[in-house]
Amino acid sequence: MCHTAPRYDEPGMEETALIRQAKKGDLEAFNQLVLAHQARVYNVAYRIMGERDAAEDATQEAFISAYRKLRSFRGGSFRAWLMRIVTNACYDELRRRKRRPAGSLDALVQVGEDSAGDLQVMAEAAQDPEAAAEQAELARAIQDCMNHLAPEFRIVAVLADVQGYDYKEVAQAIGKPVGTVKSRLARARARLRECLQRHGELLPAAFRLESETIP
Amino acid sequence: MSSGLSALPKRDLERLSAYLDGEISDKEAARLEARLEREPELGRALQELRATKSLLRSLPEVRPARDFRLTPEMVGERRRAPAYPALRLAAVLATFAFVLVVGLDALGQLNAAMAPEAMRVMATAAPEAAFNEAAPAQAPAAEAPRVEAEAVPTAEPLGGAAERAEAPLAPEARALEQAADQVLPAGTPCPECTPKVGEAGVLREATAPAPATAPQEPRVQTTAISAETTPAATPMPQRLLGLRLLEAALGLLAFGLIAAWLILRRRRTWPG
Repeated sequence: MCHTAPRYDEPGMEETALIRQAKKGDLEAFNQLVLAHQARVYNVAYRIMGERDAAEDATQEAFISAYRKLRSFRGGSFRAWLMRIVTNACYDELRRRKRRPAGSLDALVQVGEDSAGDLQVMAEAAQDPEAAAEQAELARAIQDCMNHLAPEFRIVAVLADVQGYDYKEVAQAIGKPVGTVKSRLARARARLRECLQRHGELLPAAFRLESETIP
Repeated sequence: MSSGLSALPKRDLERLSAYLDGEISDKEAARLEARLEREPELGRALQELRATKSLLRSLPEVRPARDFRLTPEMVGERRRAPAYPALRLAAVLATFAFVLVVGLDALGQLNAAMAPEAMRVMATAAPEAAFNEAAPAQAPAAEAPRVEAEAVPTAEPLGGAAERAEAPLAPEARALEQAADQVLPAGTPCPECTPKVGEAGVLREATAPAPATAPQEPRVQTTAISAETTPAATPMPQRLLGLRLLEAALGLLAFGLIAAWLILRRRRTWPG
C-alpha cells in the first residue's frame, strides 16, 4: 500500500484558470477544484479526526470556507492553502470536543468505528482476507495512537508522514515556521513509536526487531 | 517497554528526524553521519524513526463516502429562476417584432403623406419625433404614452396607467423613465405653444406626428378622436385598423414581457 509522494508545486495552468473563475463567483469552476482535491482533503481530515462522520463534516466545512475565502488566496500552492483550511477546521472541532468532555464517550465509540474505512480498502487491495484483516488491525492501531497525540502534533504527523508533504508545505499548511514543523514532527514520531510498541504483536517484523534490540 | 527515542536529547531527536527527511544542510548531515558511526544508540534511534515513518506512510488512502461539491444553497446563493432565459428571449423577440411592424407601418404612412401640408405639420412635430428616436426601443410602450399625455388630455388616464404599471420595475426601467423626463423638457414647449394655433391645431399636432413616431395603443385612440372631430381626416381603411391593433397587441406583449423579466431579475438578485 504505497502512496505516490505528492510534490510541492504551484497550481497548474488549468487550476489557475479555475481559481480565477471561481474568484469571480463561478461555483461550477470551484466545484472542478473540489473534484480535484476532495479525496486528499478528506484523507487528511479522516486521519486527523480519526472517524468518518467528523472527517466528512470537516471536509465539507473546509470547502465552503475555501469558497468564501478564495479572494484571500494570493497564489502559491493551492493544495497547501486548502490543507490549512481543513486542518484549521479539524483543529477547531478537536478543541471544541476537549472543552465539552460530555462527547468523549461518543468519541470512544467512533474511534472503534475508524477501522471501517481501512478495512474496506484493505479488503479490496488484498486477495487474502486474513492478511487484509491483519492490515486493518494494524491501521486501527496506528490510528488509535494518532488519536492520542495532541492535535498540533497529530496534524504535522498526518501531513508529513501519512500524506508525504515536505516541511515547507506543512509549514504553509499550519502557518508556522519550518523549525516548528521539524520539532513537532520529531516529537510526534517519538510518541507514536512509544505508543505503537504497545501493539507489538500487530507490527511488521522489521518494526518489532528494532524495538527488541532496545534493552 | 521503553524506546530509545525518549531517552534521546531533544536536539538529537530533531536532527535525526530531519535527516531522515533530507531536511538538514549538507554540513549538518556530514557531522551527524560521523556521529552515527561512533554512537550505535544514535543509529538505533534513526532506525526506529524510519520504521515509524514507513508505518504511518503505509496507512491506506480512504475513499470518501460522498461528494463535497458545493450547491448554491450551501454558499448562500439563489438558483436562477428557470424561466428567466426563455422570458428574456421572448421579450427580445416581441420587441423586435413590434419595432419591425411599427417601422413598416411608418414607412407606408410616410410614402402616403407626401402632401406639403403634411410635411409642414411634421416639421413642427420634429422635437417629439426626435424624442421618439432617442428613446430606446426596449420599452417603447412605457414612454410613448407620456408624450401623448402631454399633447392630448384624454390620453392622460392611459398615461397614468402606464406610469403605475412602470412603478414595480427594476432600476433599469426607472433609469429609462428618468432619461425620458430629461428629454421631455425639449418637447414641452410644443404643448405650451399649441394654444396659439388653436383647438384644431392641438388635435392635428397630436395626430400628425403619429406616422413618424412609434405608434402606440394610446395613439390608436387619439387617431380615433381626430377621425371624429376633424372633418378633413379620411376614415381609416379596414386593413390599417388591423395593423394598428396588431401594433398595439405587440407593444403590450413586449411591455409585459420586459416588465416580467425585469421583476424576475430583481427578485433573483435579492440576497437569499
